[in-house]
Amino acid sequence: MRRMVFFLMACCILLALESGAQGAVRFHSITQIGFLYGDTEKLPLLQSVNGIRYKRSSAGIGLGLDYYFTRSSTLFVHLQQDVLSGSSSPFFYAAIGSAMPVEKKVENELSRSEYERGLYYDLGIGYRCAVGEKLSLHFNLGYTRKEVHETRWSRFNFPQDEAQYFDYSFRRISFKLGLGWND
Amino acid sequence: MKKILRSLTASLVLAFAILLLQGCLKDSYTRTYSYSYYVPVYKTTAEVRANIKSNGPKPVEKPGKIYIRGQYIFLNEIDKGIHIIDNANPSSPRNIAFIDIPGNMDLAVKGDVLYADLYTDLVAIDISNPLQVAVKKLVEGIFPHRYYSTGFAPDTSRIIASWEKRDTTVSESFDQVRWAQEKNIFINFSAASSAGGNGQSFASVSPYGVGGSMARFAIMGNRLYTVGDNYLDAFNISDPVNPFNTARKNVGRNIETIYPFQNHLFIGSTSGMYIYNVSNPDNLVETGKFGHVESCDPVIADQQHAYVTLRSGTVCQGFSNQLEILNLNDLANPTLVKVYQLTNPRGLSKDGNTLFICDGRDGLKVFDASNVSNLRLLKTIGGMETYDVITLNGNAIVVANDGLYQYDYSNLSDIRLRSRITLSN
Repeated sequence: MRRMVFFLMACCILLALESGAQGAVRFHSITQIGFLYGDTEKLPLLQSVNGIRYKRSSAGIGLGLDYYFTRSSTLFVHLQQDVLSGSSSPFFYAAIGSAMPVEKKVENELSRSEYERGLYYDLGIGYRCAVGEKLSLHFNLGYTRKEVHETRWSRFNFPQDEAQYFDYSFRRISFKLGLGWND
Repeated sequence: MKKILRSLTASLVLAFAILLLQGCLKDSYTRTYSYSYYVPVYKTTAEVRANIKSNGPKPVEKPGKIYIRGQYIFLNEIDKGIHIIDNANPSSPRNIAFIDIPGNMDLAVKGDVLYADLYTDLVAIDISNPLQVAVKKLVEGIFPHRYYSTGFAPDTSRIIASWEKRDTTVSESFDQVRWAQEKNIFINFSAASSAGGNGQSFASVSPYGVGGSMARFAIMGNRLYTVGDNYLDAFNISDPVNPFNTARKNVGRNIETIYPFQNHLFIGSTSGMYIYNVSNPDNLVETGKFGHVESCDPVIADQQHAYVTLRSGTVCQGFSNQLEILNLNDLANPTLVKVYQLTNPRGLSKDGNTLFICDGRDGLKVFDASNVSNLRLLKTIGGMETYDVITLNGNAIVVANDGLYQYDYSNLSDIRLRSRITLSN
């Protein structure tokens, strides 16, 4: 998983260098808010993606907060491909990375838990609508999955020292509204 | 134009596919856990009874309650039997024999007779020659609290001689995450126990043995008293090799320990301490009670005070870890003198004004108890997790998670380790 993220980040850097060599690369940034609609909950998310844009393609590194089940920070590689070359266009996007629980250790009267990061990805479509020379609005609809791993030690059950391992998987629809900026 | 239409079509197809994925909107989890379970190894009743004898010494693996009689230490191996340790020289105790008693948890000694439980039965064993002990009598089915209550149904035609441990790992998948917050496992096929006994300071020439504070068996005069989960039993042992049940009384719930002092029995339960007058040994009369929070509570007493330790983190639940000292001037109405906070106290013993408390992972704590309102900690002997202690004639015998320790406390300013019998694992 970690290798895959590094590989994608390396691809982004190479793409940026290649684009820069051709003189057409531009800085690209999107800040998005939205919510996640899942089986159990409906909770907000925040994201910021910063990277480069070349013609109809963009690539960047994203940071986010995902409040579903357990609050997690997400670190991911984000790729976007516009369908049209105009200032407004539908697009496809894909993001893949890691979801890291913000609270790594949780204790209560019954148990003690340690949380570890897991896979995070988000795939979807959207529409980019120009609202100025450099600004644009982004509307996204996607399918996203977050995994979290928990190791739990019970305080009372016998045998008390045996750990239980929980591998959670959350599959949600994500709706996002973002503000993009191209240099 | 064609390009635009192709792109829009592709976008619509993708959007449709995403909506179809709504059926995949599931929160799920996999729970993986490992546990050990035990499979009974059966023997016939005849085989078990024939094996209740002085077999060769076995290594101490899971020590339970202890009883001292003369130069011998009788150390319970939980659910398996009793080690006989020759302690003529406390600096060099010798493990000389092992009595196989399946299901054994408790013991007491009067004269040359050792009383022990064999699951639901009481067995009287002649120990006049510890190297050639012999069964004298079995009282069958007298301890109903030793029946299994967890759904396990043993083969009643035979006796469980031992348990075979098996390890397993289970992986389960669930579709709704909220279940993970509620569901827990509970595996309790083997009878778990704490260590223990009842620590009065009889002289070593007494016909009675000396037990620790966590005992369920106690001997007073010609009676053997035992406690089950909610009852107190009296056995007439005027003829030591022929015990028979003379009285039974329901005394409350979750009874744990019994401690004899003068004409009274101090009974520890998870909810409080009961005092029973046994001046008439078969007429069990409750004379007093002191309630406390839900917790495990071994108890000992002297002329004026009772000492009760409460601990958390056990099957008794509770969140208190403390020593409570009660005034016994009015046995009908014991009153709290003072509470001392401890770490995770278990068994305790008192010799004169010196109080010994097994405080779990903190080890053994020795207090000057000449003023019960102001206990003074004299020494903490760490490096072991202690369960129970018996003090006798300047020798403290301590059951810990890693062995049996003996300390010379004849000079309180210089308490010294005399010996240690280590566990085999």
